[in-house]
Amino acid sequence: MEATAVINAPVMHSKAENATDEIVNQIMKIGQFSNLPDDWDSYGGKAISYEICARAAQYLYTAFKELSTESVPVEMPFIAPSGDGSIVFEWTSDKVELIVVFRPDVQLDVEYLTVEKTGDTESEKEGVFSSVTSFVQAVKWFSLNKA
Amino acid sequence: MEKIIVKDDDTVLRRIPNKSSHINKDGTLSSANFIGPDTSVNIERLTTIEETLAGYESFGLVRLSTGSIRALGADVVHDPLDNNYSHAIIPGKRSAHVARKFATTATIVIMPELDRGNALHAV
Repeated sequence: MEATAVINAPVMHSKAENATDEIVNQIMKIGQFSNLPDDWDSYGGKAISYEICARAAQYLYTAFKELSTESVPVEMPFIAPSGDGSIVFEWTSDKVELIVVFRPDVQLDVEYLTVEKTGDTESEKEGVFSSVTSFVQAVKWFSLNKA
Repeated sequence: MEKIIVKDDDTVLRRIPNKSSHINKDGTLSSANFIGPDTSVNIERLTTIEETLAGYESFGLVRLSTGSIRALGADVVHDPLDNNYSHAIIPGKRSAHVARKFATTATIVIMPELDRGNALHAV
């Protein structure tokens, strides 16, 4: 093959490369939250602290890294800041949902809500993650049950 | 300032930020809009959509019924301000469970104009 053919060939990204791009983009988005000014939501919303951004990014990256090594496909969550200075992750599907709230309180609690949907009924479970490992397991639960 | 009793059949309005982070890809609202604490709203019978959006015209607007808020164990309390007699609060911070229910029962009155020029749009 001539060199020019190689140069002109379309760039093919592997699934792993795309997933890596995605996690980098999500972590950059989380980092941007620390630039939000006070009153960003028009209701006196608190700025998101660096500590909350760092914690949320660390949790997401850890889930991505650990589940990737287990060949579990990790779907990126919908990520939003909240007026109390929290960061919220939301994973949703027709069958299950996972919501995680990184609270700006002294303990930096990471709360979760899981929802299992069967027909017209929903079964919910709420709690606080005791460690990043629990968070990774919850993301794995969503990934394996979403379809 | 005189306070009114907010009835179960009252509806309240809340602005939602003009950021793509607050509207899911499928058009549903993020629970993050309602985590709190002390979520501010306007009592609709004391205001108008235009007044609620004054100064924040690119924001979106959602409507909630007081009855559905109270059914979830929260409340709506009139909290008039000098510049906004219709102001009320839903006191306290709320769990992801209640915030999710608020998000699913709220109806979108006006979609926000997403601020493409803002670096934070991406979030």
